[in-house]
Amino acid sequence: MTPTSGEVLINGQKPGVDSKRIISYLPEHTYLDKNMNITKVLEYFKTFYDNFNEEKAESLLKKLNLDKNTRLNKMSKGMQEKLQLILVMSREADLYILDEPLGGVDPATRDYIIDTILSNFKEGSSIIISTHLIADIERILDEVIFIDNGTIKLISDADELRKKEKTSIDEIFRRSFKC
Amino acid sequence: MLSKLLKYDLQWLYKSLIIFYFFTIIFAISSHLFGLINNSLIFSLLTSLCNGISIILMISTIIYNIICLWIHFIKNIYKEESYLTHTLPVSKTKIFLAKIFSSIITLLTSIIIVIISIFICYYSNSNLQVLENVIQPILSIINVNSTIFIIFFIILIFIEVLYLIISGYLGIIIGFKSNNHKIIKSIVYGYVIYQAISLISLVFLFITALLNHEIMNLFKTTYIPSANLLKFILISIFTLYVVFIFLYSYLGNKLIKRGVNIE
Repeated sequence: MTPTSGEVLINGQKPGVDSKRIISYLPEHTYLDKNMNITKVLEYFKTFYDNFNEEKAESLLKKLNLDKNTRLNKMSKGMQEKLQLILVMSREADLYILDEPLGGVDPATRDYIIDTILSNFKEGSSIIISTHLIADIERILDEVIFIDNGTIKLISDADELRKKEKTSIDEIFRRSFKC
Repeated sequence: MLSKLLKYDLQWLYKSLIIFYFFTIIFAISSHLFGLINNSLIFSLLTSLCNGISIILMISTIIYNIICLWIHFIKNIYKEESYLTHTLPVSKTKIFLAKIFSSIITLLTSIIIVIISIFICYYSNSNLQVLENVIQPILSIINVNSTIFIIFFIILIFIEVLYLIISGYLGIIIGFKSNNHKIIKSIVYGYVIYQAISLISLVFLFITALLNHEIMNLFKTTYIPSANLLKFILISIFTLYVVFIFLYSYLGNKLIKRGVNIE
């Protein structure tokens, strides 16, 4: 993205090669070369990310019963998203940025995604999740930020906000952005 | 990291290019083998057919190589795959350099395959004699031997096509800065950037002509230039292409470093 205004600092530094090393990013789109098979994708991540834990990725893939020779274009969109999540969460990163990880998937897959996130992030790391499906992730939130048209509307500790408003964050969100 | 990026870029490009290389060589060999059989109408027809297909494949190999490079560039830098490309712990300069190097390497192999195919298809003493006769008038003017001339000619073609590819990259980079009609704008910008060299060459030649009477005669008369002047013009064109390749690569890298608008 071409920045229009403002500044982003990661560990006091502007985004660059060093910050990309410690950030594990999951975009909303499927971003892998569809002609690659799973083995090739694992090799790709191992090549470029020093903190990629191949064993962890392989054990997570085993649970999904995915054949490593399967090409991505032979997999369903849901499976591709699960694979991407496994790759992202298999990195021993300091910051995980997950953009709409629950978008467009069925409730069972949502549970799988939340479970994979919670049981695989590196201890001591931070996770930023951007989502519209607040109810699904409400239980795991520490801090919430409401953004509207690129402007921050609210920043708060999740528990404090719930206590103050005496309702769930999902409900607070619905009230704040009522059409 | 540059070598790792280059490895994956080349793997992607060669995956389809190799098919073109294979068929180009196969049809060149077939054409040569069928040509060895005399006194047969069928084989004579087959020779002509394979010859035609070989020529089409040779041209297609180069065109496909160019298009493949541009598509790969767009996919990697601006489309869905760009989310991965731009989050790799690699500098934008290295990402761009990998594209330039993969262009040089694939173009070089495509040109080598085309030369080998031409050699397989047409190599014979009589054809060599025909070629010698065709280029002899030029050789006598510029006073160089045929081997040097052919090597220089091949290098010039390589540089010219590379210039076209890099112009395309710069066109894509500028075109994709817009919010709509990105492909059309890329083609228009790419074409204007590609044509810039013709205009600049002419301006350069005219400025040189102001200082050199012999060059001025090229503008005013139908005078055939001397060997030294022709060599000067050829070397100037070659230098200009190389300078512009570096300039466009530098500009492209600078623009990419400023930020890209991913789709």
